[in-house]
Amino acid sequence: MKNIADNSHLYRTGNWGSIWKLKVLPKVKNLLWRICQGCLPTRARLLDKGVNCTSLCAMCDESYEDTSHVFFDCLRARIVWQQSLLLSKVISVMQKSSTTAEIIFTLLQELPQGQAEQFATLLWSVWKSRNLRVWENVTDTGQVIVEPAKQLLQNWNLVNCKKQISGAAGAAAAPHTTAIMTDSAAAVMTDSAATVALPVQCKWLKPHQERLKCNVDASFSEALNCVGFGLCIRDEYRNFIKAKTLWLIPICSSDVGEALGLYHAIQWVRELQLSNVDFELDAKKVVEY
Amino acid sequence: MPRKLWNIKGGNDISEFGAIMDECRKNCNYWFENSKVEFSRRQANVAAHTLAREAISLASPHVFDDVPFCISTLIFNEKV
Repeated sequence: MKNIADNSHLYRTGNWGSIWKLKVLPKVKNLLWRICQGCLPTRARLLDKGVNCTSLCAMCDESYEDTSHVFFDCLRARIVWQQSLLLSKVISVMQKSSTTAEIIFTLLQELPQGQAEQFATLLWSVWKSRNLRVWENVTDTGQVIVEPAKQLLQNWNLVNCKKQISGAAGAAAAPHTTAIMTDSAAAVMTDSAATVALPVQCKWLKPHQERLKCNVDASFSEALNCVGFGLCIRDEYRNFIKAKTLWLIPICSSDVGEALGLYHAIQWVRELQLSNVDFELDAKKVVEY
Repeated sequence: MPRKLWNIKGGNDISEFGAIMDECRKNCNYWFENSKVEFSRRQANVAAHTLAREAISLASPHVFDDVPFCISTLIFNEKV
């Protein structure tokens, strides 16, 4: 690339690694990168590019809206830093820095990891709140910015830590597990957004004493127009007892598929003349029926 | 003799779901004394999930008396 065109004028100095190594949502990292590159469409930047708009800050309507104002000078931002207990640190770094990028890089370097993650997520939330004001005419108070940001970071950490734990447990298990983890990560994300993020049981549990457990699941193939079932029975010592696979044509909805899975599991367990079996599925609708 | 429910096609999906579930409940209560149907997270149901995926690639139904290859590592890992 270097040989094709000289793009050295695009290089910005800075500790870019300190952004990318953060354990935060990718969209947060992306925003930090855009701020530090100087390509965030603040009104100052828009005017610079010939867009016909006001130069005043969308939040306070008083000052010139460039990145340093939006994130650090604006009263709205100050409230956010105050409530997240980062204000004194932010101000002391601001006094030593000349650009927004410099403030961000320095803070990322000097803050402990947890606070750096929080700082980054709050930057994202400040910009989000600014955009909500501009595009949807919604006004947040500082507190409304700080709390959801904490929640956002917490949920993300929860999901991603879990990913690592279960990933390690089934490391060599199967390539499919990756896909499953992603699905469940999404599920946890919505769950915990509503309730308080609790660590959720994500490991297989053995059946109760003197009982067997039959795990049931369905899979769906549009291409083959069929639904597949997997049944796996294990005992209280976690020993494998029996497994069964079968499939049916045509494909059906996931609810019907999961219900059919249970139906077949019950039939099979009956055929095996086992009477001490509990069934376990990951379909809430079936279990709660 | 239970109806062959999987032959029910089309129609109202919700009633199809309900019909299958009613049949499940009836059979379960009739054949087993106190079997429960419980919910698990997907991460805890990987063995069945993997088998269900495998099922589609097999020509016919299979019963395994020994641990199937596709879940052998998983079963081993879930031993502890």
